[in-house]
Amino acid sequence: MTIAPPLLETEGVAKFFPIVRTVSDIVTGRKARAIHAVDGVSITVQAGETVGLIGESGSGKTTLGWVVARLHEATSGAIRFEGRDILALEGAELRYWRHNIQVVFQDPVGSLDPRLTVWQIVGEPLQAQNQMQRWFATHEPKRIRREYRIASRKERNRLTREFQAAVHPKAAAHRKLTDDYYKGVTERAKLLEADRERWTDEYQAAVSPSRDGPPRPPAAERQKRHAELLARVRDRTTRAKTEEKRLRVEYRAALKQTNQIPPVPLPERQRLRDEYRAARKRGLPTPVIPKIPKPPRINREMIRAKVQEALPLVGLMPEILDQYPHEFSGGGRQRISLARALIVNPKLIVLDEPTSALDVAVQAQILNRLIELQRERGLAYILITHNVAAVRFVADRVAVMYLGQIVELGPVRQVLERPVHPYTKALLAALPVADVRRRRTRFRIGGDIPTLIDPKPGCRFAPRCPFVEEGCHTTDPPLLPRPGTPDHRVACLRAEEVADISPASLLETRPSPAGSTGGAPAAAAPSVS
Amino acid sequence: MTQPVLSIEHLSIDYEVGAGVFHAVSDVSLVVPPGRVVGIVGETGCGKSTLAQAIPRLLPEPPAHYRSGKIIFQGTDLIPVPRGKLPQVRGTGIGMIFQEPLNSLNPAFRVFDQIAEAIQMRHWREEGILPVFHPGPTPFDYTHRPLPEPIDVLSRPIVPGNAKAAVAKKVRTRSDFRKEVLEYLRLVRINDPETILDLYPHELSGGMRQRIMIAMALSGKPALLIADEPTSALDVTIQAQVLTLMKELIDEVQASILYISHDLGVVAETADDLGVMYAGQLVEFGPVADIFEAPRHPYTKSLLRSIPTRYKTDWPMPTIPGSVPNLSRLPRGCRFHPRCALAKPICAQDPGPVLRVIETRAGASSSHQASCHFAEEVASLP
Repeated sequence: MTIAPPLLETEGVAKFFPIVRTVSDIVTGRKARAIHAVDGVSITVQAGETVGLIGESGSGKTTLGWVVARLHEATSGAIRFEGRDILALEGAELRYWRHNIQVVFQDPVGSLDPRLTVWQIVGEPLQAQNQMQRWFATHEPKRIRREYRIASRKERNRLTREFQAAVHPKAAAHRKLTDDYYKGVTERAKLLEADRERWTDEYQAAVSPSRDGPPRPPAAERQKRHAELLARVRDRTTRAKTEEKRLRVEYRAALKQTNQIPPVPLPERQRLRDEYRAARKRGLPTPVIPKIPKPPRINREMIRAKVQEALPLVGLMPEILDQYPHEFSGGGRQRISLARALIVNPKLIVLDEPTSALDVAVQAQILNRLIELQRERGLAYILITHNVAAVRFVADRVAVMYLGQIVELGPVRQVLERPVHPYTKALLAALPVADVRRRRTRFRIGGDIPTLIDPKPGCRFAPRCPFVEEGCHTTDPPLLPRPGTPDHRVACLRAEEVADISPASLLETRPSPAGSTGGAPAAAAPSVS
Repeated sequence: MTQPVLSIEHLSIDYEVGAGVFHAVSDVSLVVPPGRVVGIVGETGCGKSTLAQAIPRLLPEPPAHYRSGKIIFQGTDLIPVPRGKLPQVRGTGIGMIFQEPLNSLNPAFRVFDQIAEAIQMRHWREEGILPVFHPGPTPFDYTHRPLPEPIDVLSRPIVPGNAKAAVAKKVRTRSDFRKEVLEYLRLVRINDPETILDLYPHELSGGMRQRIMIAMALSGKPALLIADEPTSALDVTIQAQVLTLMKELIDEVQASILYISHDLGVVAETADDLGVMYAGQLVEFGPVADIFEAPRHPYTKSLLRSIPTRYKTDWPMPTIPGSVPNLSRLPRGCRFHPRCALAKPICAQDPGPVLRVIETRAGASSSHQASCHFAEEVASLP
């Protein structure tokens, strides 16, 4: 039995934003740099599931959401949607696929065009989807036929090659040896060239280092290094030549060996020829060309009708069709944004900070609605937010991101109630809680978020981590499942040692300073008359 | 009883714009006693930022219009003060920390110049070179250090102003200010302040910028500090750092602070007294512990309930039905009654008392007030 692939699966996805090299960078020989916004993230989302992504700004959670929805191109890694590699999609095929993932953008003001009315905003994806469905109806049969043509040509070529090798075994063996020999020659030449380039670079770096490197060595030292380089290259070339000679001799001997192969007798050749002709005639099985009905071109009235149906889903009145976004409050705009995402029936919605701009009471309404929709339609969500409370309420699993990497991943209850990674602990301790007794507590994690430009190896939280060890600065911690709870993965070298430390220990409670009335409401303020 | 630093009496502010009259603040009364932190919470559009900016009269008039009431700062009503005299009260009298540090710092000046300017103004006011609107009681001196000696008369004053007056009195050099600026940067826990001095605001992170804003506000030694959402634009861990700093400064500085936020958690951690605003009105006011323990207004109660803290299994989360009323078309009677679970016919007719003292159980403080007919029954709400 095969297990169905997860709805979405990413494998080591990375997104680097290159930094433009300035003139001074080029003059001083500074290497091209890049911002590592997302760096090797592997995550799965099952159908009907909510995965929360939490982290501070700059942790790459929004970039990850965009990469998954193919709004950014991933630098490396693989993304599979229902088992299909979506990074390979392009052009119209990509546009046709897009209805599967929709995004609710972060800024409810900026993501709605102020010159369009509600029905135009919400109906725009519908228009695009209709266009792509019509495209698909005509192009899908064509695509299948084209692929069949290409595959059968390949199959015929393969049959011919096999037949020729079978009837002329001597020639086939001869050709294989020659191919291998020349392939080897080219490869060895490339290796030699690479070595030479590497050594020359090393020499250059040593004798004329860039501005921020070590000082330039004295002339004697430079001459010595030059001589060393020459000797090294000469030695390597000599060895390569000797090797080449030996291989050539071996190759010639092997060629002579092939002369011993006897020719195939005639009746056998005739039998092979008949088989070959039959196979060519048979060809590949003809494909099933599906009959895809071509939907009619959508018009204004149809869009308006569909939008009118969709608006109540997100708690909006159907009468607002002709209003403009500026007439709505933040909550109303976020609902419009959500309606726009829902109207094409996506399987996955990337919710990028859906409630950050909203007040608590409105936030609760939107979150309730999101869960309701999920239960009705089996939607999957990726909830990107820095609001831990919202993740706790909506998500099934949660991934904590820090500087482009996932540091902890697991079921919400486990991660938020028993956090293991020191960063998760810090994040949870930092949350202001509506509890008056926290007045005397002080947050102990110092420092700002370090830069993402070409980060150094080692754990990225190490400079701020209170439990840091020497190894943390040099070794990249892998995201490993915890013993006993395979769902719960943590990227920390000291995971098991720090697992039982409570987040509250990152706060210190100070005694009340003498003479201060803070926190003691008994010394009450004069009342307002 | 000591004189309060700030007392607002029945303040109403309208915005008169083309679309109508918006009652942004209606009949708000509030007292900030010396050395106490008063928090104000409320949703977007409830008038809390209008209130904050109305105190030093930063609101543009028009469209803002002070309909009635008094803003008594150190014994003087600020509303009749002519516009030209207002700068005299800002900075040294009332300091302000704004929400967006990048927007409120000047991008063309280095950190040093921004803080030095504030210090310069204070010195000029203390020395009588610049007029002071109202001397008032001396604010608590929290630097505990004497001012640097004035030297070198020929050196360039850093703020070109009335040069003649400056030369006649005292001239301070950049290096004098340097010491004092460094002191304030250390006060707000900035590591390596010597480097930070020469940076521009865009070179700093959000947390650093907000610290610079706090240092600027404190360097004027204001009698009242208004913090308008100082941590809302920051990340959680950075917010916790700045919050920790604010809490430490509150203890050290002993200043009177009006702390405005939409985050109940932040206010719970900083404020002594708490005011809850809804649709331009102060609906509840009292010691912060009392309000969190036993809210006396249905709105406060539902606001506290709608903070998501539980899991998906407990769906749905309690919300407040309906939405915030339009400030130009307010409902008759109590402004919260269309959304209130306790609403009775009287609520739609009579707006109810403005902040009456709630008799709680024996021994509880009597300063807990709410504007609700049925404040005693709020405890029975789920």
